[in-house]
Amino acid sequence: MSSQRVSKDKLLWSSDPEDLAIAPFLVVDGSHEIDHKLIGTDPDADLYRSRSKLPSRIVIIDNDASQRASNAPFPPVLRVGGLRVPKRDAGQRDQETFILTLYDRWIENLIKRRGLCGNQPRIGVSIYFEDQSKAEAWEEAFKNNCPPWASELKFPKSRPKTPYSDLSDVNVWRHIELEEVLEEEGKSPPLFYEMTSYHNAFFSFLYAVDPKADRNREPTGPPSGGSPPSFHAQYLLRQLVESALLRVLVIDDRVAGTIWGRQDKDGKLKDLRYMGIFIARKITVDGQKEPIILAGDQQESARGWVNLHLQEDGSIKSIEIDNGEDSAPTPAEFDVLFIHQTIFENKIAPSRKERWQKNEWVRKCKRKIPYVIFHSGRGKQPELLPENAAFLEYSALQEHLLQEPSKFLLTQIALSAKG
Amino acid sequence: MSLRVSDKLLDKARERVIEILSEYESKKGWKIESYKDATNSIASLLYERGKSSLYYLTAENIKDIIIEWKRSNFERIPWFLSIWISYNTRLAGGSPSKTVRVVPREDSQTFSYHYDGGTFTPKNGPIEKWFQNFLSSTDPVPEEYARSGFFPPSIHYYLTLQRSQVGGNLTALVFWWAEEGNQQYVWRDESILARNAPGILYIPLTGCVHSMSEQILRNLNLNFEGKELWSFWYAIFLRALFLKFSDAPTNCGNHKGSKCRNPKGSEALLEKGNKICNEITNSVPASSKNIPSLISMTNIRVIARGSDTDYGSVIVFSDVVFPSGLIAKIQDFVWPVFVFLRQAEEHILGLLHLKYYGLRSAVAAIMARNMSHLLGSHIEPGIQNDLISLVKTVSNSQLLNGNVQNLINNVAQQGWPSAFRWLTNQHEVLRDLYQIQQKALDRYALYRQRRMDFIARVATDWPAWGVGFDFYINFVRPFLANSVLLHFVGYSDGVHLDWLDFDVYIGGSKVTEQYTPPQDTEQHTPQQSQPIVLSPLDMAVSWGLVKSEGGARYPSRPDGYTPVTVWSRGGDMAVQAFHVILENIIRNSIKHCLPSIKSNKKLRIGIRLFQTHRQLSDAVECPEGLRLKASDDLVYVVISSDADCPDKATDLDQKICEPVIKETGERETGNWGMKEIKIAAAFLGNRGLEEVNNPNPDFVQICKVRMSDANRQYGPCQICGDGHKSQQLGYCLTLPRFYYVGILKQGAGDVVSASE
Repeated sequence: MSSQRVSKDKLLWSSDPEDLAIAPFLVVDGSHEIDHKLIGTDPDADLYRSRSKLPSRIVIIDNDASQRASNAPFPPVLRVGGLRVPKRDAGQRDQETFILTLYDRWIENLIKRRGLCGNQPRIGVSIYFEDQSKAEAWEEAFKNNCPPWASELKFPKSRPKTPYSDLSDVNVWRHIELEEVLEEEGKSPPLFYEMTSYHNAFFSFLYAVDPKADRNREPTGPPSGGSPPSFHAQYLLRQLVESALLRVLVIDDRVAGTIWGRQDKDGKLKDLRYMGIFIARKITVDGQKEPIILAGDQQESARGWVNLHLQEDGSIKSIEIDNGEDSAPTPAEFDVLFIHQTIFENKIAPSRKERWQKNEWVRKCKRKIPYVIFHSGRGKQPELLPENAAFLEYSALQEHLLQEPSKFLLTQIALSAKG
Repeated sequence: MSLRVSDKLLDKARERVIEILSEYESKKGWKIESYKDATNSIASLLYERGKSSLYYLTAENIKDIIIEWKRSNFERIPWFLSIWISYNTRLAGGSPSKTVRVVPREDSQTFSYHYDGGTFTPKNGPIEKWFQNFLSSTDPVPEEYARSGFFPPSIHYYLTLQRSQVGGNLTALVFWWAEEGNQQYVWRDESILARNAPGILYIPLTGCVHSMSEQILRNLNLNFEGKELWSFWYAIFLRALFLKFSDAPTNCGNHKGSKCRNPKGSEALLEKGNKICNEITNSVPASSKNIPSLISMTNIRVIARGSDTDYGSVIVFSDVVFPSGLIAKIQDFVWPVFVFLRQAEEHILGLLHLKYYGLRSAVAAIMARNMSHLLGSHIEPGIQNDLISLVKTVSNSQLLNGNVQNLINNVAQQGWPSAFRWLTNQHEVLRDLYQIQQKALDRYALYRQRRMDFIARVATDWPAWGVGFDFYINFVRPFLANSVLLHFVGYSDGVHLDWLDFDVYIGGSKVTEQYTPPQDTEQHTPQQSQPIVLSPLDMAVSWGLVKSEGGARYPSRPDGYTPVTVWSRGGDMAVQAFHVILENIIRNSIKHCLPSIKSNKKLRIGIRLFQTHRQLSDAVECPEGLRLKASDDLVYVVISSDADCPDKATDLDQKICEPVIKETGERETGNWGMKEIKIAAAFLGNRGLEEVNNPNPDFVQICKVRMSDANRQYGPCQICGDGHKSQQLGYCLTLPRFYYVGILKQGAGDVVSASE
């Protein structure tokens, strides 16, 4: 290998960015010369093709504001100061501190991107385990270790009841349905709500993580002084908040059709909406006679579904959430787009047969939605796919969206997927 | 009338080149095992060290041709020649769009490069100085250049960027320095120097092929602040160089009526040019310093006669210019060499494609056939013919109360629809069992869907990305909860869900699924208040009885482990690969050791995760030594079965080492289950498709696993007899470690030699 690759515990160093594609974060020291393939500012350039092979979260640590700046959009590129790249002899604790701090900065910027909480990018989190001892353990562990972006961390010990004072901005509650929470009048709806259930792999993991300390590690603090939570618990909390903040749009006829055909379609759609997952139903493409309808009839108004208006080249003219016949639609923004390859090929961009044309479409689309993932059940056919978008199997969507909904797993996979 | 290069010289040169190629072909025989071999073969063919290098030889011959031409025509012998052979190889890294690795070599004054588009530090030749100096101190870096993403700037990068104009990949260059005695001025066109323009502008006028300079010419008439700023700098530099040597007026003059549009700060640029000139003149032999000439570049495209294929180009930097006749001679000499090279490459590619697509096709066939064999022949018929047997077995779970065997028999006879007519509140257990059955089918349906996606993926494109998954929660647990699969995998042999058990160890701790009955619970649970360790049979109940809001009636939780996050290739794809391996191991145990399983009424599968190679080597005994790659980037998994004979480890390991396809691309027959394990292990371990054919795979091995006392409760395979209770047969696998953050190392020199 031409690259020089070194690893230690949780960190990996290499001179070749593609070696680092396996990690969720790519860190670049801004005080050095930076390869513009990573941080180029022009979304029209071919840089995005290279970037789709790299980690989805690129952080440039630039402690000197006078250094050359990157105006590459966030996400996927974040430029931060006040952080030091760990040395290769960094101990486990230093590594973990660095990872968590990095994630904190990423989350703070996601909060800002969502336009939440003004100048103070802070949000609250509430996790209901339906297990008193588990809740106490988490509360104890995080009592003096609140992440900088967290306005509050709640771990209800008993089943929350009206008035839902335990409700926060981001809520993962076990076995309490959304409808029950929303019934309370006069209370503004939460930013994120996910009812998690027992078999959910995410919740199983959350539940299995011991928040107090890693079993195989020596305690890092004095026995009586309250040691920090385990790394796993801290990292997981950040993953959870990140996934809550990301807004996902799904363009898929099967997903739309399945939900449309359900007896409880409104409820299902609402559940997903509160998880930050939206389903497209009507897509208008400039130059096409008829809009593309993914579920239901053309004339119908469909509350809670998303209508898109695209230009032929992939530029997004508008994304709106349908509020029914009597109300005006609400403009919306998204961070992650899942698009069914067949719908793209046959309906949305049927004339874009060449790869470069597909690349162009994705490039334009990424101006509004930074993470674009093509999905299909036919295996990956690189020759038919754009080079600057990720690819995922449909079954992943089927499981984490419909069968065992988990925004956590869906977004972790989405941000890991590559082209 | 000028004399020409003799045909004799051309013939001699061409013969020598072709001789080298033929020798190479007969010696190596183009034996290709993989892309890597192909790349190595062609690399050693093209870039052998020293004077045997094909490119070097070609360049040497071009040098001789130029010198002979110049002498014969009484033209000035160049004091400097830098000849770059740029052949457009098709074997670049296995992909026509990607070039082969850089192989920088230094042999006295001969350099041989091959540029792969990666980070690369050029040597300090005069050509490099040209570019490096006038670009690297430029602030800010012109955007057009910066967008290329290549640092540091050099002629290599520029030529690579301009590949569409230059043609080919940079592969070799030869510097030639004239001896002092060779310098002579026989003929000199005063009018050339009289022209008030940079020397490079002269070249197109003489008929030389020079697309780069044409580009520059065009850009000179453009706005200098536009996109082609870098090219503008290039021209400015040359102009400065010209002024330095020729004492020409500082204004642009009237070259062909074009107007020079110097931007602001032209004096600074001139100064910069002067500085560079000094550096360059310092780097050339003292005897050549007074030559009032410029380094110019001539790009000679090589296109075979009667063909429109562009094979590449020959680029010559020199202080002399080349008339079209000489260029034609060089072309005439080079094209047969390039055609011969291309033929050799096509041959290699043919073999390679045959093998690659043969392997891919074999992998798809094996996976599809095994899916048909296992899921299609065991699981699906079981679901269709005797699903009720699952219900019957599950009803024995310790979590359910009441003997309902007779009722189930009634359901078996009448079917569920009829049964629903007579089901009353008294028959709640039966309703529960129906729900368990349906939930189990749902989970199996997703499993089947995942498997089909996995096969599609393995047959098309292996992903290079992954996600951090918890080993137990994401890899192991869904398999334990897949009650339909576990029930029917041995159903035809009389091995049912309740006979299967799993021992899972992570970091030395045993992981269990536990259920703690609430003290005040409604009865449907056993009376204990102590935690219950759940078997796959109980998990069917626990995962099957879910209340409307998603809550489980018997929630279980994993106990006894610290989460270990591993890198899961392609998200859930690696999970499927892991399950494929588990399926095969269980099926193999049932197939080969049924008497033992029946005697014990149990089949115990062990899954152990080791975080280091040392831990693994302490736990296993491999007759031929542990083959698995030792790396900090990996964790290791051992799957064992208490029914299999550990003494079979050597035989089975030989089977798993078997290639998947033959030399001809044809599928090897037999042992398809083992081959499927090998394929899945390669996928799981983040290896390439080619490694599936590796006869010595370091990502999978079958060894004996040393068992602790706690795990010896069941005897070994009866066929083996006693005496092996301390060991089990184990399949050792690799899984990539998960790294949370990747840090880019910047600024280090990354030039490597071919041997590295």
